[in-house]
Amino acid sequence: MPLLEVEELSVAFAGEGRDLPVLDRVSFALEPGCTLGLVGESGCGKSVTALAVMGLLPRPQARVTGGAVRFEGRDLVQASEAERRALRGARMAMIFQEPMTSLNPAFTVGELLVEVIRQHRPLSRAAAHELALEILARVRIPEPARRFRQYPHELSGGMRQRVMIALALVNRPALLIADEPTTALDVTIQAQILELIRTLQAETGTAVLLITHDLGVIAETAQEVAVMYAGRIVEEAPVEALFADPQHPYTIGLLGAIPRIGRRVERLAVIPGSVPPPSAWGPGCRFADRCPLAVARCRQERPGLREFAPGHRVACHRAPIERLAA
Amino acid sequence: MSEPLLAARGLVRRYPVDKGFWLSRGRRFVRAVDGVDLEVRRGETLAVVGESGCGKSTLARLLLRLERPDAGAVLLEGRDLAPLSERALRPLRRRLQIVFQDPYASLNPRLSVGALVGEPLLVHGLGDAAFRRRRVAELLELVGLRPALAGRFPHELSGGQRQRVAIARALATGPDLLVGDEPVSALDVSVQAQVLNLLAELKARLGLTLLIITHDLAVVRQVAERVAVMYLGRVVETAPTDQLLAAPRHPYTRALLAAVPRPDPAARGRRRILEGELPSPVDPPSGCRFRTRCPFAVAACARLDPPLEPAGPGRFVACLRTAELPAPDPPSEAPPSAALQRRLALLEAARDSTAAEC
Repeated sequence: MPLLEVEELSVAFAGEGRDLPVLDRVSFALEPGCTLGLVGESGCGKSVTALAVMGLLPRPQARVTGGAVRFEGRDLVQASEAERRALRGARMAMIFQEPMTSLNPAFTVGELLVEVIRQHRPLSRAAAHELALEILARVRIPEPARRFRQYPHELSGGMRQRVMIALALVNRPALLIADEPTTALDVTIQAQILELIRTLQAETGTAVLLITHDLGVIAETAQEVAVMYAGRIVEEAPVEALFADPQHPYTIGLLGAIPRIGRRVERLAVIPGSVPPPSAWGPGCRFADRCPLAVARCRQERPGLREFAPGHRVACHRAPIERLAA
Repeated sequence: MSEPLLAARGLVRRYPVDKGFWLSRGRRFVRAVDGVDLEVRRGETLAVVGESGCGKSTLARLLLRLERPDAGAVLLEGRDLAPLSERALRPLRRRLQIVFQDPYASLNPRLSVGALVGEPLLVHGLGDAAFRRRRVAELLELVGLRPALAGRFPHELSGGQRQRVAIARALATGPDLLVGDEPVSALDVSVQAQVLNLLAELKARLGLTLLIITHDLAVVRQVAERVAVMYLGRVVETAPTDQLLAAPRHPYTRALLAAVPRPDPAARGRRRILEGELPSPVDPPSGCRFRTRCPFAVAACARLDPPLEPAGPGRFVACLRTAELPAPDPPSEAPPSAALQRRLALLEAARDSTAAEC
């Protein structure tokens, strides 16, 4: 049974006079111990998806308008806030792009850790203290005893992200949601943090939902990938298949648009135009206006995810596109 | 070889870290740029690459004389800009322009696109109102925007359009050198590609010289002919892009290149990871600044501060051990799959048959 099953999840934000849908029937599943990458450009809904799973949507503006988030068999959309709070920090945890804004600056690293441990486990202060030092060592923070007494602002960006990871993993959650965990970091520090997440995941069997705009990070980390565009999943595949055999014109365009160290091209492939805002979303495929293969049907009818190969699903009326050239 | 368009000679820029007491002697400084020599050749695209705190943005500001160096010279066609007054600099500023990372922060939100693009002409007293209107329309077209956008305001534009406006504005005075300080870092991938292509087109069309400041080696590969790698206020290696990326020589360049995640799942886990973090620029390590993280460091590295020295045609490396290090072995990455390339071509062909617009 999947650890996490998101089914037809829709989320809307209160807009001027009407609700703006920002997630439109998003479905995916995450098996225990696996890493699923959610990739897309700004405004595609990947972070909203993460917040909805965590039950952390900003209120009152945002609300779930449909669907289910089944975690360990329980639908969190229907669960009470108290039930969700008991899960957060214990069975599921989240790390963010900018640890400085998500770590409470008024507490030392040690106080933050002891707090999150004792909130979810019946441990004495001394035992929690010991566990906190242990987790700091496990996230490879040098001199854990000294760091324990420091405040978040006294740490470098990389060290803060390690503290975030320690806080997230100290209670051995079954699910870690990482929202652009390395985007604010330099590339050599990014490599350290991705390696750390991978190592800890192998040790603890935690499943990871990795949210990123960076296809390099996806290739490096994920086993399964879901590509999001304008509030929907447009393609979902095992990572090798996504890079070798992309089917959706958006995925193809995105893979063509990334500059590659290994090879210079005369011109990068370009997706003309930009992502439409929720206020401009029509009933059909939301990529239609930027897609050179779009036909009338694409603008009228929402393409459902169709399976092209085992585990490889694509939401495109025109795929496979080679068929069109033949 | 002809004289470089712009050159830095022993550039130094320090910032005080603590306000300190006015009488205190031992004031401490961040040495943001600490002895940089660099040449920007006419017509080339040079990338300066490095991680945060390496001094690359400060270097750009010094080269444009947006800041005055504490020591060293900035030579524009041989003439030192460092000692010049604002007044003396003014006519020269037309020739050196910059585009910043975040076009939303760098464009005055109260000015229309037309006013923003025309402003440099006004400031430099170029042409009358009619000329400026024509020139604005021309510039907008040049960067792939409809001239009708002149009446819009920055908040009405997408991120990519805003960056195009910033570029049009920078080109208004007909500069010789355009500096891009992380010009595509704030943009989404698909838009980033549009702007990178645009920069390449403009360079070819206008015969520009480009200096691109970036942290992203993939961007370097795509736009630059030559690269200078910075670490903690110093240039540690310069080389033609192809050579640098195929065979990085300085241990830091090697580490940087190895750290970049490749869009190729088969390449996963093949990289060596650089340990540790950037030392404080207030109190940099003695000798070679990279030695505290360098896997090849020996005792001498703590004593001797290695200068940039020739290491093959067009290459300079600042490392004591250049000659004895193992052959560089940068991680390889598979080219885009045949299926991807076929489908990209198909989309491209379909796009050509319909009308293209930005």
